[in-house]
Amino acid sequence: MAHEGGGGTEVLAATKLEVEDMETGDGVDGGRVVCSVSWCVSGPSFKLDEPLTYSHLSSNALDELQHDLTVILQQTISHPSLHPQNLTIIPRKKSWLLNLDAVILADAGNAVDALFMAARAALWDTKVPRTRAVEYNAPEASQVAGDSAGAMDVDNREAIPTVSGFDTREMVRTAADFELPDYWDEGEVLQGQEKWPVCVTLNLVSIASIQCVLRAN
Amino acid sequence: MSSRIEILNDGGFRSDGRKQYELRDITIDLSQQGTADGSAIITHGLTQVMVSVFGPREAKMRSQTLHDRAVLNVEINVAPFSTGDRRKRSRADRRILELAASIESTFEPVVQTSLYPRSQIDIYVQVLQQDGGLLQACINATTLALVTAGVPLLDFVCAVSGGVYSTQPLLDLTTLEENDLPNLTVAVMPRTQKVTLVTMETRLHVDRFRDIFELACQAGQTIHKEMKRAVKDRTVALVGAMDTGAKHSSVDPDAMMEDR
Repeated sequence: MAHEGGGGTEVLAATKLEVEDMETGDGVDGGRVVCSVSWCVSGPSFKLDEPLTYSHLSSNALDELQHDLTVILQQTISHPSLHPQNLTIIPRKKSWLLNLDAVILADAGNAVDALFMAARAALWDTKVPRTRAVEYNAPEASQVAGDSAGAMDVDNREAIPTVSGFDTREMVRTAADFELPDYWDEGEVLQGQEKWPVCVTLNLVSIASIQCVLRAN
Repeated sequence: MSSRIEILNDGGFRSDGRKQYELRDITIDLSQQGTADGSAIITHGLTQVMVSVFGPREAKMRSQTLHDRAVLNVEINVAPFSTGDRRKRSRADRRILELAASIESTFEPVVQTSLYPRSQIDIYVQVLQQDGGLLQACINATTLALVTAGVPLLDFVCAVSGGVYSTQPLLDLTTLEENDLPNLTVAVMPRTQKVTLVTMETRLHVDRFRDIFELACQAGQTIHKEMKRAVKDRTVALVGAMDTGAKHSSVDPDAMMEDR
């Protein structure tokens, strides 16, 4: 998790990895990235010297604002040129879904910049668990025909000189499932770290108002 | 992995290494968040909840105000990354609405609302991490946030969750324990020993109820001590900051250094 602040604006961003199946679920080969933004308190404060008033911001407007920010974040972070390389578990079968969730704890302006700062920080710290492809091969029927105990008898199976189920050399092509080699291992860093973007917002102040300010001085 | 995790083993230890009546580590952070009038972040073990309080202030909609008291408005936002499975809950989720209603009814008799007619006190709860004892953490954080906001209360409200493992009562349950055991949450006002909330969603034999209920009330006293300590530390820090400011303006710089 990463916690970013910008004066009065505070954003908390966190990433979570989920396993997705390409055949039965929404998985995409190579993994995918999904972002979401939500508010903690009911919306931005438009006037700093007055307590928060949202009489002009209904819950619909708030949902729209939330959606706008989500879209900005989503379309930038999930751009193909930034896509991390190590989100595949088993090619064409299982991949990681990277969920990036941001919560705006306080908004005193320029939430977009803070969002990207938080997102970058969270993605930088993300570690992808290491996986190992696993496949189990049942022994062929003809070889266990003579067994009284049937195919479930482990001892007889080992005596049969077939290819070992643990031979991983050819496995990547035919692997059906995966396992985590080390429970305590945090994993490897999410690739593409140096490419995550930082956002700077430029606001155009009208020239007429600048002239008024100068004249007053 | 097929081995079941033991809720309470023969040595009297639970799955996270605690003893039967041991509460999880509590950390309280009362620093200001955003523009809130009062805010608190409380952590019970791995459960972390942040509450911001705004008010008493003019209500959003005049039609919802009461002529003689303030209205409490509780809104909860659960972060999608707060649980083990990431799940995005909408604001109108039934469980969340129920949680909000519980919090509101807990504080309704405790906040001195009659002092602020026609106004509204907004309580925004943000759940950052969940590992069991969510209602407990929300209530404790709300109490602290109301205290830091300066809203007059009759007393602190201290909440604790508890459960029963066969015949043995346990306190302060984690998610693992909550899923397996009948559990309840009790909120007490420590000075008067009055209970403002008892809630249970599972089934528990009535003979077991008394033990866990009394135990939970006692545990409320322990939590009260922690909360009082945190509030006192914060107040001392604030008063110290105010004093330093006063000294700066009235005493000349050379004399000021000697004060320290």
